[in-house]
Amino acid sequence: MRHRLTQGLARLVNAVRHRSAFSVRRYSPGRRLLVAGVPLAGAGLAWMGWRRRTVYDLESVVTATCDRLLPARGEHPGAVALGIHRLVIDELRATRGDDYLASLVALLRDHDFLDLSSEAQDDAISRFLDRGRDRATALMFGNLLHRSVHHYLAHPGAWPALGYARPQPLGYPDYASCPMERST
Amino acid sequence: MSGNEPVDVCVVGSGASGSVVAATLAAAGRRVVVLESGLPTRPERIPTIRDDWEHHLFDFFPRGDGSGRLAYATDNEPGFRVSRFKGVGGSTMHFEGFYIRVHPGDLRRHTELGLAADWPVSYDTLAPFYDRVEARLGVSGRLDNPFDPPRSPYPNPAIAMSCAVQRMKAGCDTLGLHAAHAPVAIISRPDGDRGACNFCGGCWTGCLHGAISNAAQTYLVDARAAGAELRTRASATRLVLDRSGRRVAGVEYLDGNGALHLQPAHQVVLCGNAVETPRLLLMSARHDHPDGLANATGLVGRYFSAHVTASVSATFDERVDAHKGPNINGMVQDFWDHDDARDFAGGYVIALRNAELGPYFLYRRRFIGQPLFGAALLDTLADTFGHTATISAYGEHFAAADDRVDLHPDRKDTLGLPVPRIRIRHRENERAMYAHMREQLLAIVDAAGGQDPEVAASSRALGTHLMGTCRMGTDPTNSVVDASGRTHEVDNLYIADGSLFPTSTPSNPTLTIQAMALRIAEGMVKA
Repeated sequence: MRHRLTQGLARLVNAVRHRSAFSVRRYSPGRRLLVAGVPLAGAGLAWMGWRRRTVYDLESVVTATCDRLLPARGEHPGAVALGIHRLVIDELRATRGDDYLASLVALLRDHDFLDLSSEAQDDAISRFLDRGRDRATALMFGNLLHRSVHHYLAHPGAWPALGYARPQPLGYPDYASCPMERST
Repeated sequence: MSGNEPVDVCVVGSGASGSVVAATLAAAGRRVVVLESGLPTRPERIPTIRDDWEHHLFDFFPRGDGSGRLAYATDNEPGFRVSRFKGVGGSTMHFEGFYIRVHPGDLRRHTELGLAADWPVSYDTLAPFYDRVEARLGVSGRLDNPFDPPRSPYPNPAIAMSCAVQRMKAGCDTLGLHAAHAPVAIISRPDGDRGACNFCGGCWTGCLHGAISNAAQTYLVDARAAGAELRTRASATRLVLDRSGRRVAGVEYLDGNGALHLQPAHQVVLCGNAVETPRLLLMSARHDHPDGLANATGLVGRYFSAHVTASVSATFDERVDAHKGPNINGMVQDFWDHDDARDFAGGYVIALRNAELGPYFLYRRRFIGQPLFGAALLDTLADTFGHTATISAYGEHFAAADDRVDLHPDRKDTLGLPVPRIRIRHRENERAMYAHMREQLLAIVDAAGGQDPEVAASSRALGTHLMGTCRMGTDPTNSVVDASGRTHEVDNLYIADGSLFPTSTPSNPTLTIQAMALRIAEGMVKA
C-alpha cells in the first residue's frame, strides 16, 4: 500500500514537471468529461453536506430570528437570554397551522438566514418586513415580530432597562414626584 | 313560563342607577328584586398583579354569562362604538370614576340658548343628592376649581397630581387656564376593608385594593345588606301590563338556561342604560301600546346622546411616567360654560390623564405594524416609555330627534331578541366644538413641552357615555318621564338611568345618574 502511494505521488510530481501530461489532447472526450466532472461533483457534494449541517426547523429559525429582533443591547437583555424564543415557538405551534410554520422555515432557509452575518440577517429582516416588496412575507414576519415583542415586554427581565415595574401589589407610591426630581 | 313571588319593586339593571335605587328602596323596607343579565366580575382575576397583565386587561370582566354576545347595529359617526358592560355593577365596573357635577346653566339650555330642552330639575335641587352620593362613594377631591358651582367639601382629600399631570398643569398655567384636581370616585384613605388608592394606573381593569367606588363595592353592598335580591343571568325581555294598560304588572325575563319567567312587581324601575332601557320599552309593544310602552309621543329612543371627544398624546424629553396614578387626575373647566364668543354652543371639560399602562401598550399604540426591530426598537422603547402623556376632552352633544335607538327589523341577538339599532350624527356644532377642543389640547401639550403631538384617530363620539332616549320633562307631549322619573303613560313604571337626561351636559354622567337615581328612589318612598 505504502509503495503504491509512493508511486502515485512520483507520477504526479513527474506530470507537474512535464505539463504536457495535462494536455487535453492526451484524453478522449469521455475521459475529459470524467476529469472535469469528478471535482465538480465533489464540490457539489461538499456544498450539500455543508448545507445539511445547518438545520432549518422551527426552533432554529425562531431562535435566530428572536436574537436579531430583540438582541442584547446595553442594559436590555436579549430575547433569547430571557427564553422568549421558547414562548414564541410554543405559541406558534399552538395557534398556527402547519402551512404557516412550513412557510416560515422555508422563507429563512431560502435566504440561508442561519449562515448569514448579524448585519446580513438584519438586512434580510428589513426586506422581509417591507410590505412594498412582498406583502404576504411582511405579514408573516410582522406577526413573528409582534409575538416576540409581546412576550419580551411581558417579561420582568426586560423592565429595568425601560424603567418599569409591575403595577401591583405595591402600586406606585412615588407617582407624584417626577423621575428627574427623584434622581437628584 | 314560571312565576315568582310578587315583590314591591323590580329593578332592571344593577349598575350605577340600579344599585342606588335598590339600596334606597330596600333600606326603606321595600321587597326588592334586581334583574341583572350578566354575572359578577371576577376579583380574583384582576390582571395588574400578573407580569403579562397587559395581555389580560379584560380578565376581570365576567365571562360565560349565558346571554352570548350582545350585538348592536350602528349607522352613525365613523368609528363610533358603544362600550357596554353586561355584568353586576354595570359599566361602573370599568369606569375611571371621574365624578364631576353639572353646572346650573347646563340644565337650562333651552331657556338660555334656545336649544334642546331644559331639565325639569335645577342644580340646587340636585346638590344635596350629589352630596350624599359623594359621601357614600368617598369621592376624593379638592375645592380648587374656580368654575365649581356652590358645593360642599369633598369627603376625602384629593389624590395628588402625578408627575405627568403636574407637567400638563404647568402648560395650562402658561396659557392662563385653571387646572384643578380631578374629583374621582376613588378613595384616598382606607375605608373598612377597602384599601386606599395605591396609584397603580390600572383603574378600569379592576382595582386590587377595592379603592374604586364602583357599584359592586358600594350601593350593591348596601342593597343586599338591606335585603334586596340580586338575580343574575336574568335578561328582561318584556314589561307586562295589567288589564288597564296603565300599570305594569311585572317583568318577563329569560334565565341563563333560556327559560322564561315572570317577576310580578308593584313598581318597576328601569336602570339598563340609554340603549337597553328604550330597547325594553320598544320590545314591550302590545295592542294598546303598538309603538312600545310610554311611547305615544314617539320619543322613546330619540335624542340619543354621546359626548364629543378628542384626545392628544405627546412625548416629553424628561420622563413623566404617565402610567402611574389614577387614570383621570386633573381637569380644566375653562371651556365648560357656554360662551357666545365661540363658534359653537355648549362647552366641554378637559381631563388630564395617567392612562399610559405599561410598555406593551405603548408598543401597541405607537409602533405595532412598523418595520421596527433590533437595536432601533429597543432604543425607541427606552426613549419613549415613560415619556408620553395624554389629555382628553369631553363635550356636550346637542342630539336631534333622529339620533335614536330603535329595534332592528331583522337582526336578533343570541337570546332571539331584536338587536338595538343606534344612529347618531355629530353635526356642525359638534364639529366646531371638536375643532376647538383639538386646538386647545394641542396648545396645552405644546405649552407643557410635549413634542410630536398625536391626535387620536378614533371617533369624535364617545361610546362610553350613553345618554338621552327617554328624556325627562314636565310636558307629556315632549318627554317620556316626569321630573320624578315616572313615565307619563304607565303609572307605576319609573326610569332612573342616563336615558332620562334631556341634554348631555359636558359632565361625565355617572355622578349625575346616581344623584338622579337617589332622588327618584326617595321620591318613590315618599309617594
